[in-house]
Amino acid sequence: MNTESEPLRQALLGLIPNLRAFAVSLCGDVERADDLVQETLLKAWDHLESFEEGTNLRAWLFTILRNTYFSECRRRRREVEDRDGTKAADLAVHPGQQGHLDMQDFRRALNVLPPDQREALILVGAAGFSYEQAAAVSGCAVGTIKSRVNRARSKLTEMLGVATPREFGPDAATEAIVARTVGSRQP
Amino acid sequence: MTGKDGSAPPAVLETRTATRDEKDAKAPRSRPLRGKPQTVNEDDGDKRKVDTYQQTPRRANARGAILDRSLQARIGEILRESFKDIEREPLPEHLVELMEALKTKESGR
Repeated sequence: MNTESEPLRQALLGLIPNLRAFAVSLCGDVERADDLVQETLLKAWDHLESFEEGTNLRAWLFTILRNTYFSECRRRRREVEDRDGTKAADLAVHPGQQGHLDMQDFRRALNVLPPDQREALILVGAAGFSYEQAAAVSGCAVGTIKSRVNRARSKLTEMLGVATPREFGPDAATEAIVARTVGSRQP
Repeated sequence: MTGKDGSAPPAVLETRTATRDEKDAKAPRSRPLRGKPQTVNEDDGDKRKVDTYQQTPRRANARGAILDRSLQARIGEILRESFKDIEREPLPEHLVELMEALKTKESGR
């Protein structure tokens, strides 16, 4: 085995669960995500010499995966963007009826977001990248990432039809704190 | 008159509501263009500053902003939980096989 690249290859394999979580969150389809991870892994393995030592291996892998994903989307032209808000309107009813938001509702809402916003939110909000790192992975400006994250958060809140934090789960204490905080600020 | 569930309607519906003109006579038609507090004379001769901005919308905005921050935090939590759940899942067979194959391929070089 090439002793120089061995630690790197081991690190790469160790990052697969994390990479897979990104893929599933990004495309919302486990089978497709696993194919993406496989393709990313093969590409990374074959081009490991192009990885710059000292830079972020995880960011490099995420970049390969998202580029593969978006290229595939363009090629297949099957990515559905909910520009008219139809899906969002349908979805808004569901959590309200149950009065409680579960993980399934959340994942469905995440999948309705435009892909670029979903990607930015996952990178920053779930994968723990800084805005700067997320911008480098996505190949755009830091301001663009910030804007996408904000829009994604607003849309999620809007889509899930949430009026109070209680509907996000068993968190009645939060509202009590909010009520007290607001009350204490009133003149 | 009864409510949807057959109960008596709220008492507020039985009282006559103020007409628009009456409301307008009580409340300022619009808030001042500039936000400087106006100084008013009270009956006891004491002077105090009164914020002429309408209080209710401001309270609603403050409450909305705090709720919004709370919701954003909750969204973040669920997002991270969801991500970690996937990360903890066992890898599918074909990925494990691929990893093994890559290791073998590398060791054969």
